[in-house]
Amino acid sequence: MELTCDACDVSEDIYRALLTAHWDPQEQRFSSSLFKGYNVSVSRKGLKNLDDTVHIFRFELHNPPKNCLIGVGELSLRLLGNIVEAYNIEHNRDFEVIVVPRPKAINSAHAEVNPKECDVDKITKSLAKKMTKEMAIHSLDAEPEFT
Amino acid sequence: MPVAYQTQVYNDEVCSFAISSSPSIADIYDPLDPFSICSGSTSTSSIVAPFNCSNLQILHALDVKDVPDLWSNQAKYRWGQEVDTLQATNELTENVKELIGENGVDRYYEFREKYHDGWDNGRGKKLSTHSTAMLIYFVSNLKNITISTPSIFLTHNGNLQLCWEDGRKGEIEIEFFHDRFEYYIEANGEEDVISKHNIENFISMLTD
Repeated sequence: MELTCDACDVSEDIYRALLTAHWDPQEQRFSSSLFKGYNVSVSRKGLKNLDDTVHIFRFELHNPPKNCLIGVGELSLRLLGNIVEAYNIEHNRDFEVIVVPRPKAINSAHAEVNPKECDVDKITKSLAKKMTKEMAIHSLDAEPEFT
Repeated sequence: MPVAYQTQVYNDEVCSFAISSSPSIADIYDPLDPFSICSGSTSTSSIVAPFNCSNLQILHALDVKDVPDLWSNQAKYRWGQEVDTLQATNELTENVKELIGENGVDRYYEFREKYHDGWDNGRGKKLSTHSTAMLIYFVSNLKNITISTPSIFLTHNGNLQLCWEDGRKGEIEIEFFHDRFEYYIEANGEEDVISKHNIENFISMLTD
C-alpha cells in the first residue's frame, strides 16, 4: 500500500507514547485504543530522537501525571503499510491509513495517524491491535510524579 | 420546588440532560410524546419531564447516540416504567477484583484517580462510572467460566476494557460501554458490538 497525500514518507518511523492506560507491562499486553479511531498523536523519529521525544511526551503530560508514561512504541511506516495491506486482504476492504505532519509549538515532529477518509471511517480495533503487535518497545524508567 | 438533575451521558457524541420533577412542567410536554419538547443538537439536548430521581434511569436505558434514534426509540418506554439498567459506580466488586488480580486493581485505581478529561493529547475522557457498572455486570454473569488473568485498560471513551488470551482463540478484547460490549476476537478476526441484553449469548460465544 502507498501512503499518499501530504503524508509522511514510508521510509519514516514514528514514536507513540505508551501510557499505563494503553499498556499492561506485567502481562505484556497492549490496548487497541493506542491506535483506534483517528487523530492519533505520534512523533516523527527522523526529526526528534528518542530522548528528545520522551522529554516532550513527559512535558505534555499533566492528566495523567508524568509517571503514567511508561514507554514509547516505535513503528515504521513501511511496516504500517504492510499491516494495512494485510488487513485489507483479510477483510476485503480498501482502507488507507496516512500519517500527516502536524507540527506543534512544543513538538515540531508531531504528526497524526488517521484513516485517509476519517469522516467516513476510523481505524478499527482489529487493525489497531495488529499495529500494536508490530511496535518496537522502549520501556522507560519510572519518573517521580512531581519533578 | 422543581428538581433538576444533570446527568452526563457516555458515548462520543452524547449529551447531557436536564430533568425536572416539577408538576407544573407537565403542561409544556405531551405525555404521549414526551420527547416533543426535546430540543437542541446531537451534542447538547435538554429533556424536561415530570421525573423523579428513580426514573432518571430510564434515560440511561435509551440509546442516545443520536437524537433521531432517541426520538424513534422513546415509544418503547413510558415515564415511570421500570427499566433494567445498571447503577453507575466507581467501586469494584470483590469478584471483579478477584478476576483482574492485584495488578488489575492497582491499574483500575490509577485510571480512576490520575486520568482526567483530556488525557493523551486531549483525546481521553475520564473513567466512566457506567463502564465500571458494565464490567461488574459482565463479570457477575461469567459464573463458572474462567478467564485467565485479564489485563484492564482505560480507553479514550473513558471506558474500561479487558483483554486476555483464550487458549484456543488468541487474544480477546472487550470494551465496556454503558449499554453494550464492543469486542474483538483475534483468532477469527471478528469485531462487533453486542447489546448488554444479549449478555448470555455473548458470554457463551466467548467461551465456545
